[in-house]
Amino acid sequence: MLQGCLDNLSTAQEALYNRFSPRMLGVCYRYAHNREDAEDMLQEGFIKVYSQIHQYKGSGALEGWIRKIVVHTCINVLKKNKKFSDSVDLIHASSIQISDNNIPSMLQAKQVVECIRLLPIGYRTVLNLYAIEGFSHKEISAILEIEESTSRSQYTRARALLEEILIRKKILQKPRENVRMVSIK
Amino acid sequence: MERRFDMSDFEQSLKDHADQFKMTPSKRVWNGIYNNLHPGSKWPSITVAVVFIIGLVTIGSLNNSTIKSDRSVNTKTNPTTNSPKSEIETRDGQASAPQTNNRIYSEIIDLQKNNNRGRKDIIEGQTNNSSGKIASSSLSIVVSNLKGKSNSESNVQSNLTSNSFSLTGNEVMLADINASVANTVTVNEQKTEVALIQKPVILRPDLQATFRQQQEELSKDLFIPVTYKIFSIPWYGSLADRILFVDRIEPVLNHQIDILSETLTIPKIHKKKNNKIEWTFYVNPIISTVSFNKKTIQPSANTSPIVVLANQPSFKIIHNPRFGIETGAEMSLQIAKKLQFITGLNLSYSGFNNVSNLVHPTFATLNLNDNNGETYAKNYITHYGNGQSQDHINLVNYSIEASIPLGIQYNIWGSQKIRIDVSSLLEPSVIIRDDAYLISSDGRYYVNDPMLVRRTNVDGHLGSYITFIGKKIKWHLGPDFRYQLLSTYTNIYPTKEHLIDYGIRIGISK
Repeated sequence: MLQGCLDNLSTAQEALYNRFSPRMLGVCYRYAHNREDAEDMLQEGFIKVYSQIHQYKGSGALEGWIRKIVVHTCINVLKKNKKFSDSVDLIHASSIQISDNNIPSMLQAKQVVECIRLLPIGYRTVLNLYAIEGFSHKEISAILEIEESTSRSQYTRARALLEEILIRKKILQKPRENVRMVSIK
Repeated sequence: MERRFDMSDFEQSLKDHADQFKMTPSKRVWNGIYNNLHPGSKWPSITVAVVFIIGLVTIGSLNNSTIKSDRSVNTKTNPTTNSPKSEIETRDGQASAPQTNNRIYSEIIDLQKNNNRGRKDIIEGQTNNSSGKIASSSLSIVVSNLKGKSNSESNVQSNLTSNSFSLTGNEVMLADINASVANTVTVNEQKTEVALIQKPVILRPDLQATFRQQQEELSKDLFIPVTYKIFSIPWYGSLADRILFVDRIEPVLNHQIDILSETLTIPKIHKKKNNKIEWTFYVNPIISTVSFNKKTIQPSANTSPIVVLANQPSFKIIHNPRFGIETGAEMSLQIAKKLQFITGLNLSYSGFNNVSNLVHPTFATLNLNDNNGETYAKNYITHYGNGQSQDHINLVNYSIEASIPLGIQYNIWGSQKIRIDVSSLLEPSVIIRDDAYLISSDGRYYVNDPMLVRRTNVDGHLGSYITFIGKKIKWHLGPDFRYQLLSTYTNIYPTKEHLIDYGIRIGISK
């Protein structure tokens, strides 16, 4: 399949796409505003994958390599569309209303993802990059062009807010030994 | 709710859950990726599409005709006098005799309370089969009222057929009584829009065909068939407790009828694609020219002596080719491994220019043959010369034809991406519109007489095409040659003229 992609064979390219696109779309969905934006990010990401496929040396899993490209594509799209500046002011993220009717009953994984998507775009991005993608705050600050301290503080707030959301949605139970009161104005 | 989310390792739990999440992208994503990776294929598509549109516009403006179709499906539920009448249950439940000839054979099932026996009675009526079941064209649908029946009490004879339809008016919803599942339902008294129904309903017989058509169209769109079951049981007994027959819009909505129903299963079908038939839509820009049975036309022996003295022993008709166009749709049916049968519909505009010149109005004569083979002269007044002098003008001989190609196509060579075919067709054609300038018998003038043109003709068609097989559509390109087998003119005009078209076919198929 990889060799076929290197030879620009459409069948091999389609096979690669079919294999990895569902999971990658899930990745994009965590960054995007809606499904359409997520699909646009996915499309752009895969185009980059195919154009840079010759750079894949085989060290590490192919999925991880593709995922890295897709994540960077998502970040670039957000930066290009100035989604960070258009999003809810991070300082006022606590004013977000969390209603019980936001998320219908669905599988656990999707519930968690939908809870993540309730976060403001800035919080969400930092949370995705740090907690899920595994970037360090230093790397996140370079990617998002923010201060490292900003990245840390945003992550702390994002995590707290996400916990609150998960508790409200009854996906998460308040741990007995680690109860923290998050003031929601 | 689930408590598997582990707070002790928040990040790991979050990552695990997020990684499990998948979504299926829509087709447009891959289409966008593919078009980006293989951009070279779109320009021929765009070019050919433009040529195709121009060709259609040209034909349309030349034809100056429009075709209108008016199609409406009447789903109104007003009673009509044409609706077949049948037995109508009266208020007291007594069945009345059929009023018209549209009576119905049926099997009556008497479903009495606490009694699962059935008995058959035949009511005189109209049927299309000998079994006594009502054919779908003469519908009667029955609601059986089996209040509080259990499964065992609702055992209807299995040879009943039943039709189920959705509400389109005042009809009463009917449940399928060919039931094995006892689901007591209430008649839906509300009007609903025509939709792919899930429950059987009663429908007036005169609306049946309309409704069936609608359901079939919806079924095709949704790739889900509608299963039809025909209830062929007229009412029997009192309204209160069993079978109600409705064949017109009688509002029985005020009756609460508990019925046994069966959930209609709508199994998914896979729409069968006929791989043997392929439709190709094409447009051929052509160059039209003409050939005569003689290169020169001899002056007639009956011309006046003056004309004979003035004429050269022979003269030429000066003509120029002309741009034309063909368009149409072609259906190819695979009859052998490399052989296809071709038919379809073709529309063409072709003609040629006669080089002429203006002269003073004068008499010109055509020598024609009558049915007995004798020659007679027909005189015209014309002011078109034979183009031998200065100041040329063009006289256009043209025809607009509709034809049906019939023939075969043979595949010479093929691969996954490219195919080469040759075709040979005969095209019976009808002349829709034309104009004709004919050289006079003395060869000095042109006369205009489109009445001498044949109304029908036959063309021979040869073509060889290269087919480029793309992901979704195929492109066809190749030279085309068409020769008019019969003369343009009727037999009374001795000169034989045959139009010849050379062109390039540009076609698309899916």
